[in-house]
Amino acid sequence: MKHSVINNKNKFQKYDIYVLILILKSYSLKIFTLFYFIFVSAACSSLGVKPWEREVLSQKEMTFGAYVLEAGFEDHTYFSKEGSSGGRSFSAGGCGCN
Amino acid sequence: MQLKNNNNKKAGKIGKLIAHAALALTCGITNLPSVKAETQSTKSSGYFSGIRNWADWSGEVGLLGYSETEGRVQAFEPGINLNAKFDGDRVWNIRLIYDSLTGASPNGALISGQPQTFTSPSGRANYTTQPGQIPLYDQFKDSRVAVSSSWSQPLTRLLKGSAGFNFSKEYDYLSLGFNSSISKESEDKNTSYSLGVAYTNDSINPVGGTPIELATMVPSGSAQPKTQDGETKSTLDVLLGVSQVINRNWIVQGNLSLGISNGYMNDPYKIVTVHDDTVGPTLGDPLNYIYESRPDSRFKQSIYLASKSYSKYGILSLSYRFLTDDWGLTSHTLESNFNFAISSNWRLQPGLRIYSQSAVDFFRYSVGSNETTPQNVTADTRLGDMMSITPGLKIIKKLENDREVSLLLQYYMQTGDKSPSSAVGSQVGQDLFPDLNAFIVQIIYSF
Repeated sequence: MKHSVINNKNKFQKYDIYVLILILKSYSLKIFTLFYFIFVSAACSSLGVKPWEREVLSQKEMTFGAYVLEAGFEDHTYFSKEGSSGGRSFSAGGCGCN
Repeated sequence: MQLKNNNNKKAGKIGKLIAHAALALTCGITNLPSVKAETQSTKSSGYFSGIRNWADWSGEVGLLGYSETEGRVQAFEPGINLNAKFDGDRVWNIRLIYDSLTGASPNGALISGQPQTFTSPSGRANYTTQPGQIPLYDQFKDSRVAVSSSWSQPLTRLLKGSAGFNFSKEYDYLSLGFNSSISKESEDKNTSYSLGVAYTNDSINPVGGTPIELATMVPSGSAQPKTQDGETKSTLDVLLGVSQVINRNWIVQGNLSLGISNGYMNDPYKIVTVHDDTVGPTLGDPLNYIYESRPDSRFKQSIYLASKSYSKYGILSLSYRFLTDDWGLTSHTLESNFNFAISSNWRLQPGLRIYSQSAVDFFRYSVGSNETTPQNVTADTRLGDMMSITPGLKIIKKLENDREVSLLLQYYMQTGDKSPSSAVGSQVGQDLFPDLNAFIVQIIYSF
């Protein structure tokens, strides 16, 4: 998706409106929504478990985001060496390494 | 407050020390009367046991070692992540990271058959790269301290909220950020929805000043084309997430991320080669170098899909990320690992990450001396067409009381187009996108 580059620096307030427009125009959002509804409607009747069926799911290895330090180290490394970041959680960053 | 809740997660000796420091910091940054009262009431039974009993502690202590081959960047990064869990599922988290970087970093100029002389970032010295060698600034040195903390707690039976901040400081860079998120579980707790927002404000004060975009690099001793004004950058990220339990052995997750940044996006230490584009024997030779110029805003969007599934052989984790932005970059990231037991206390986890990206619209290997200089141009290969592969192996030793120690070994291999069609004259035959290879080691103790 392309949109024009605006060269005024440090005028973040200008972007408040742009953010809303871009979210509405975002095709990622559309794909994501489509994916989600297809997924849920196709398998809705058989999804999920009862509380007493969570023995496997409660294991640390089966939990998303359980290894915080490892994920943080990896995100920082790849943020420093590649043009993409974030996705799994908020964009890595806050450093001058890219 | 859980005075007697040991809950199989007692902090070890290191954990006690960390908890001590964390408590001191907490008392300084939060105003929780109940916490202070609890701390005072437990003094009589020993300060350390008071801290330990103050909350149900869990966390990780770890170390990242990163070493690029051929003497390029070396990084050493210890870190601590601590969670204090209180009654009512309220959790306070704090993370401390120290990052030390040394070695030689590419300055963006192309390899050439000629010796090349550059000016150091401070503008006080010159350095020379020999013919056929990667132009590297070998005095690269930096260290960073990062602190982040958050508080999360249930808001209603199914609704949970969290708020936090992050701080990161290095010699030429300061970053301050705030984030907040809200998540809602379905009645049967099989589906979870989340919405998060993060705002970050960065201040950049490059060594030697901020280069004027597209200005020509001049030798040391001359007036440098730099200003002493600091620069800023703001970033707003929004993340929508869904996770869904499929059955007792399978869970999936999907995230949509949108991020907009505005302000100073350049790497102030990166330059672009200006080559001689006059037809003749010097065609392609470097004439001079200009400081890079990136757009002042960037809008990124990504979709992240992940799955974890259990079988009698082990646990398979898969994830895929699609990312695109208005700089023209599109990337695909596929990650997988398989975690399995080799004995009652030992587990192995081989993994593989594959990444590919297309170049941003303003990426150029070099620009010609007779062409009009583009408004935006970078030769930073991190924004060029490339791919990387990272195989790895994690060895995990399970300890008592849900503690574990792990060793992760990875080898990062990045490669790009070494002989682009844009190469002319003496550039042809040179390695215009040198490979980047790095050993990565992580040792983490979690308790």
